Amino acid sequence: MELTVRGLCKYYGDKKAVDNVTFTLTEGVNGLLGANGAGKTTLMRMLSGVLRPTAGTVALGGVDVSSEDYRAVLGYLPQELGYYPDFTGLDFLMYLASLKGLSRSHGKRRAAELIEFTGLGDAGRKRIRTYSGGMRRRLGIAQALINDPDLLIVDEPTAGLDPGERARFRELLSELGHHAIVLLSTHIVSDVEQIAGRMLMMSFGRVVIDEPWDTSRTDLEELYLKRFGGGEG
Amino acid sequence: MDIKKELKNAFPVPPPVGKREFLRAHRRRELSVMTLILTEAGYVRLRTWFGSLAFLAAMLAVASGGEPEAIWVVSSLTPVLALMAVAECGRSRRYGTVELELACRTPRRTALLARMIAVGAAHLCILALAAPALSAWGETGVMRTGARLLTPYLLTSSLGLELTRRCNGREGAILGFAAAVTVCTLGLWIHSLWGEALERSRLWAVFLILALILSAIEAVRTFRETEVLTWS
Repeated sequence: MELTVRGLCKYYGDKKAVDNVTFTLTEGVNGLLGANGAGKTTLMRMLSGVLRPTAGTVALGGVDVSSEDYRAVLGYLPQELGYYPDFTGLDFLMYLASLKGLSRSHGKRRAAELIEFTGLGDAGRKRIRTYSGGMRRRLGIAQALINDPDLLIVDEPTAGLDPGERARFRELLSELGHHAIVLLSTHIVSDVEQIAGRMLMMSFGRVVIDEPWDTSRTDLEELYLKRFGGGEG
Repeated sequence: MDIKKELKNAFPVPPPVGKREFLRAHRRRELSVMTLILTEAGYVRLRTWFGSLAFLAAMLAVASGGEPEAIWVVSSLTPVLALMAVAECGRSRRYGTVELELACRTPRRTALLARMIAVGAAHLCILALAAPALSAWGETGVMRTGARLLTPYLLTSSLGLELTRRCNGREGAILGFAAAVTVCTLGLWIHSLWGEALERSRLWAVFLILALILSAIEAVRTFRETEVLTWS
């Protein structure tokens, strides 16, 4: 399966947030790097069908981003995770599972699995308002995986996680990459260096680097700093 | 001895067989409108349901007094009920879950519609129960009583939807509350000025139709804005 992006643009008046981006992703972990304001989040939002592009197309195996079939196989973790503070972690997962079309029994089973998997355990029965930032992030990861996605788009997934959790999440993404397209946007170079088979770098709304990445290489940070050292603020 | 635990420790869990195929098959489940409405109803906050029931009890208590003014008191309270519905419909925006919901298989518009139907239908039942009671204990016909209850409800819903769409979070909640208070006050003010004249005329039908049109317009505008994230 392939995620095909052709001529994708998002303009806000004169500002080109994403400018004529074209690439194709296949199964595996794909890293997306770029300084603040490079257009990563805008791109991720368009790939998730959350934001309508000014121009261009996005399709997964020929299925357009606007269709229900695309969203049925999509897992998305936004940069800022919204949540209902009165819901318990399990309620939240069950609710999103129902919106993702899972049956109640399937959603319940999957939610319980993911609560355990993300290490939330008993906290799954507590209200989200009592969660720490790291716990909320883990809940966000759990909701992105609830429908066992073929396309997983995660925006800064490890922000707020401790080093142990980050390592665990990297392993998970790496595992998912065997049978799904994973697009991982991050500022933390080490998050993608060891697991991404392909690296995309964005600058001023354009993809300036799109090439296979050898996970044994250790010079990504150097490359990144050389390119984006000053940021784009 | 916990045999389950012992077994778990003694033998490694076998890898799942055909799990992905099973999940794929389940993912294609078709969602009926009724399933969606019931699902959304299940996730409406308990305080909305309890608040609505408390409102019904209060309406019946006021009506049971048999005072001719009871209908005006009750109708000027229906904006509070409408406010609960608006708060429930604007929940995603208030808590920032719009982005997550937009990325789900069920279109957010459909999910929002299901939530509005769930809460709106419950409120309509409450008003439908209150109208005959108020009519029986008072001097006004059921239709006219129903219109008097429904008009401020619809007006507040429309205003609330418009305001919460423009202003998010706490600001939206405060403005929604202000809209409810305005409609409450307006109801009582109209009654004090033209109460008797209105009793005799058919203006109530005109007001109801206007409120229905306004609600329909607001509902359409709300759905249009749910298609994609309003973000810059």
